[in-house]
Amino acid sequence: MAIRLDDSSSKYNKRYKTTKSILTDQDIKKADVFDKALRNTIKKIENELTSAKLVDKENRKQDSLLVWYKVGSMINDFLLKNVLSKEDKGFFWDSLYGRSEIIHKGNLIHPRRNDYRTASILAKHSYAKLNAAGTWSMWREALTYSGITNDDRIFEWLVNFLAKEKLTRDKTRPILKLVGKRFKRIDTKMLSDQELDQKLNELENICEEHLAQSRLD
Amino acid sequence: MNEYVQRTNAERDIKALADGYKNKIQHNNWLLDGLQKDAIQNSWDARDNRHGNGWRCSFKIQALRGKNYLIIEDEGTRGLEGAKFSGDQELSEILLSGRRDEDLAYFLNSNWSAKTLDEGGNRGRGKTLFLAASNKQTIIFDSIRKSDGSYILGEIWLDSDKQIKYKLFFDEEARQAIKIKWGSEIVPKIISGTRIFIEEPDDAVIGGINNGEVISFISVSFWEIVKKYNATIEVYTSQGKKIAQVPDIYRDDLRGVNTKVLQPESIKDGSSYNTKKLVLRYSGELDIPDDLRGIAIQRGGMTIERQKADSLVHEEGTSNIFGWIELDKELENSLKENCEGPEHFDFSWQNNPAKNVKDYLKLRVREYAKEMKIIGSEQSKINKAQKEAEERALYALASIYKKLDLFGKGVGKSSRQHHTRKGNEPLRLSSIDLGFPRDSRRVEYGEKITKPWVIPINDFDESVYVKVKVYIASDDSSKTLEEKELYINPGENSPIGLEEFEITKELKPGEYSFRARMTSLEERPDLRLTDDTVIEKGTKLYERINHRFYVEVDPPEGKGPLRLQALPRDDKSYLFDWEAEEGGYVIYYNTAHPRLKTIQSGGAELTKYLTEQALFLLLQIKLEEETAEEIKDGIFNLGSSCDISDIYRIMLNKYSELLWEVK
Repeated sequence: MAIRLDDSSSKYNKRYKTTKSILTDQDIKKADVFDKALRNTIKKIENELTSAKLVDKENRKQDSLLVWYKVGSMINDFLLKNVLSKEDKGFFWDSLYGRSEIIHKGNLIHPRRNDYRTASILAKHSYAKLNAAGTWSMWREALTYSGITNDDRIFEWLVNFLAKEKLTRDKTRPILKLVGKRFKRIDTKMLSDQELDQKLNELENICEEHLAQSRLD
Repeated sequence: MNEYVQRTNAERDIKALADGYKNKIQHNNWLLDGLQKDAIQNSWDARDNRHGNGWRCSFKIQALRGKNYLIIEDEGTRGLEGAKFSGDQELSEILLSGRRDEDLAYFLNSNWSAKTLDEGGNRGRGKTLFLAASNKQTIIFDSIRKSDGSYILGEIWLDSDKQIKYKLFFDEEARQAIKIKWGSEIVPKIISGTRIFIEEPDDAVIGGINNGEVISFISVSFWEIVKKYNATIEVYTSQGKKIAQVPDIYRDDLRGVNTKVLQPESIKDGSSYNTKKLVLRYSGELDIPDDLRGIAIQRGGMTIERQKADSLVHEEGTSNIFGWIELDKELENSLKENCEGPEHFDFSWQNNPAKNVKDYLKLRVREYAKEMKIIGSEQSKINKAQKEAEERALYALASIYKKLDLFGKGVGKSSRQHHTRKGNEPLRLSSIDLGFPRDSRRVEYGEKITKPWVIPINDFDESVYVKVKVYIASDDSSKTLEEKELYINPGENSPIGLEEFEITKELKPGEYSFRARMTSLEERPDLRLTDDTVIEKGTKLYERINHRFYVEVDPPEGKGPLRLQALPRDDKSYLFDWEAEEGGYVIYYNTAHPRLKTIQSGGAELTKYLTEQALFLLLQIKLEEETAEEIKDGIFNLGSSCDISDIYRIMLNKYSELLWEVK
């Protein structure tokens, strides 16, 4: 499916993005229907954020993690009802920027740092655990490592580890690097739970040693 | 007048039977695949309790007194039960009686069997395949019977008079005979079950056991009994014992995969044949091995064959639907009797009840694909045809961009750093033999890509257990040519992939890549890659194979700057329009215009029309570019003529010239 983007530089004020080089009028109709549903969802998110006073009058977030968690949950619900192909998902995440001043002001910096996508991934896990493990900005950083995001089991382990350790963001950063690097070259989906657990246990020891050393330093 | 018994040429019978398997099993190691399926199926049928508690079956290659043997052994089975016959007359009576539980007599004689329909095999062909797998056409077996604890030893061979002969020993005589044959190297069986020794097995059979390839054949066929009953099937490879596992895609704890389970229902209105369970799964992101693609048709705990979802519903995007169907006993029996091939690798789908089962699957898979929003309405079919026609138009124009000096994304001066080629990895794949019909890498339907295979190379001194996948990928699809789990030995190994690959309409026109990747299947902390990465299970060892080719279209001369977009509007003055966008141009066309409305459902006419009109617009774009940049010596020669009528004439001339060249 194509994704509609509003673009004032176009004489038609809109563009349609898709992996295909050709768009038919039917594709465009579908993209318009999808776009309308998305606008409604964004509106609902905005209402929810303002009515729950999660953002103030200047659109400042009171609790960034909670705000993005709510955004992610509602986007996930939307995507359950409006299925997108894997190829078009990239365009979708990019297209969310610029739709709401309340949710986010500013442009996308890098596709791997798409806040909406990050929020969507986070919203698949328990908020209480995520909150105990770190802040929104820490999670933004964590999710840039493919070694962390490619396997849910690693992500779950990280959540539990960080929740247990209760680290500052500066202390967390080297841990994220260690985890990301450890699994960067491994297709962990080939590993059984037991096999991965063994690697995670070893990694946990390494991380703990690192933390102990940094406390001494 | 004398009566004679007709003599059959058993050597030819064995060959004919083996040819049957070769035709049905479409890969190089068909003999081993057929062998494992028959052997395990017969063993599972002989299990001594319904759930196969204590059942196990193993495969290993062992040298005994200077000869190699493939030894297939089971436990937790009844052994070869039945009368201990001692002469031809007695044997004939047993065979003609049709009594069950005469396993010994049926095992020793061809085409006699009294298995019930709900057992796996019933044609007694497995033992003939054992003979086919032996270069000496000889097998030896021993068995302990659960019923009376008797021990039996026998030998079956193809004699020089082309007849299959056998000899038998019972109890003490059998124990003495095996001692004489192999001394203490082989001890008589103690636990009830049967052991078969295939003498001097075929080289491919030995190779497939030693390198572990047979494990994937077993998992593909017998995953259901492993999953449901924890059935243990072991293979002794050159790197130790391996146990057949349930392939990941059949696990119940899969994440990110939608699963739908359909409860028992009739396969057709008014039919008494019922399914037991249909499990359909879908994930757009899961990499499904090619030999597991589709819906597995299960019978008696084994997969007979798989029906690919995209061949059931013929819709784009459905190839990642997979699952399995289990059938009730009555339907299983009827399928086996009326439709199943003797090799247990396929069904005759034109015969009932197989036809009804297939129709049922078509219906349910289509419904599921709609639920998953993989396929849409009939309108989407028109759109698809339209898109294909339009894609052809764009490719037809590809050579024109360069001529007009119009460039799109990724063309022109590149600011990218050029990378020097990385050094050789110690474990790598070579695609040196790959060949395309022409240098441009355009491939037409019916043409073949030759040797789409990779040669695994191992610079270490030791074997490494890996998974190699060879496949063809496009933006939205992937087709596995071969996927193998094997030990790669030091030096160059046998190629993995195909001898040739014919391009059919299964691949729609467009760009594709031939790719391969190798992943480690074992922990090898003693081995390191060039970047010091330690090899462990799951390590991505090699992913550099990537060769682009183009089906039915020319390779783009740089990425085209053009994009077509339908934009219907009730505006008589608008048929085509265009505007610049990042990296190129978008051409809008009005599908509400009567000229396009009549041909918008696609086909050659639409392709032709769009090509011609887009070509004209490219000239228009070029003219605007030359005007804006005050290019005096461009193709419109604006320096020497500012007469508007001249420009139009030049444009028409150029249009004619370029149209002449459009393919």
